[in-house]
Amino acid sequence: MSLLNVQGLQKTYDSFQLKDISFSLPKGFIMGYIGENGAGKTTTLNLITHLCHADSGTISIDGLQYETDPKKYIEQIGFIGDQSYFPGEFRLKDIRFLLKLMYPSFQKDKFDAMAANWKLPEKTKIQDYSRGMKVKLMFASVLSRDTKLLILDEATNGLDPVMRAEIIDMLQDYIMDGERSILFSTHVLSDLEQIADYIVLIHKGKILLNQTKEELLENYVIVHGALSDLTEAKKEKMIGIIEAAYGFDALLSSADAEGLGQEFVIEKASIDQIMIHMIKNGGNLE
Amino acid sequence: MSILKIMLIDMRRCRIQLLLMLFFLLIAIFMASSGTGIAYLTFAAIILATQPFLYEQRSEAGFICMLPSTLQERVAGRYLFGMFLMFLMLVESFLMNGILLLTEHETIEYFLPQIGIYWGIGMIIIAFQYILFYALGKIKRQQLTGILVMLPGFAVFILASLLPEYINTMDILQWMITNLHTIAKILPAAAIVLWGIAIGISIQIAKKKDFV
Repeated sequence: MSLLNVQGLQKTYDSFQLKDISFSLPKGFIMGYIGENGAGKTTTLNLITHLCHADSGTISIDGLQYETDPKKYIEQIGFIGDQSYFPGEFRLKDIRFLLKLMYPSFQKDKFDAMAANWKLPEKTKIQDYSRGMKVKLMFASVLSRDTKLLILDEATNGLDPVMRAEIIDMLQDYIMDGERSILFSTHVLSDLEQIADYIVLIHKGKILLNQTKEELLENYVIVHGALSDLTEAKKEKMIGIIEAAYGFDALLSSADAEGLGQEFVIEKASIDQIMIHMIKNGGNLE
Repeated sequence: MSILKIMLIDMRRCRIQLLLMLFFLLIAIFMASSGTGIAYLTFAAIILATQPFLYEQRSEAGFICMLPSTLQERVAGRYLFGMFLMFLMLVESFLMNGILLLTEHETIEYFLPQIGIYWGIGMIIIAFQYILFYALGKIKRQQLTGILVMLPGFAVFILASLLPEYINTMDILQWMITNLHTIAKILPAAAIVLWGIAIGISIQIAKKKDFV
């Protein structure tokens, strides 16, 4: 059953348009939402969190649309952005006050335990926290109350490997009960390779790819070789050929890779590589 | 209840400004005997009422919007914050008058009519300021925001400067003095009605805006 259902979402700005964005995220799964800068990832997330209004389309979380019950809709979401959204002049006690005031499901003990575990300073203003501390604070604020959908908008960008590993563990714990899901927008695609179940690629405001991670990684390989070995027939099968000093790299479907020839080096494609070559190919996987 | 919560959040964010109102009271006490203390407190409340909007220019977008509240509650909560400042102005004006009575054995001339008139004017100006800020949405440049905060005050000042060229202000002033008590009753009532209209207008504006 879908927790998040996005259908026909559209939003037009002066220089950008989000067109017909549709995808579903089942309960208990993690979806990686990827794309290059300016593709429309944050716009999509802003529409889901209702920070901005869609021109058309519907969004529902666990069957509930924002218009039906705005408070309950928002309460279901735990949002963690790449920057702290708390007022910079606030301190930890102010965040505690705010969460207790606004969220009936807020668990002060859990919040305090996480703050103590992560050594978040009580008397320092949020604006003086390090980036890692700000991310930890956002996680503490979200995980200490009941939410159904966690939305991460490049939350792990710029964090050290230790912190990222900790966050990955937290995310996996979050979905353990099978009732909650995560929508994870990130440029650190190696994180998604670890934990994502679904991958959605957006390019220039349109969804180009929506598959399970397993399918994606099974269905595509990376081919390396010399340009001179690339016949026209073989070239047609390649996706997003990138020429380099040593030859070329290209994406290829696993089916087409069979019988390609010994002159080429074939290896498993990463999500990174699939994205790069697909976008290089003008957004096509053919 | 959520409207009160939104107001409490604004108060928490602007606690330094709320403390400043106490400081302004001290200044107003010194101005009390000259009759301008209430005007000064009104001016302070008008300026400080815009602070939540100024904070939102600097803060990350979406802070208030991601709290479980409706748009109507967020707008009404913001207006309630403005009204709270005018309530502070009332309380401080009475305090000021009390201190003047204790120290100088006199009260502020036309104290109650002044309270009514300045409270009404303050509420009206705040209402227009809030409509303006909601209409403009998120303003990226701090300098522009600073100008906008002062705009209503400038508008009043320019109007007051230009009016004598077109109408006989002495007649108006005479009329106002004659009908001071009536004006002091009508203006606050009109301000409350305008406040309600302003909230409605702001909600309609905010419905069409993003990140509000």
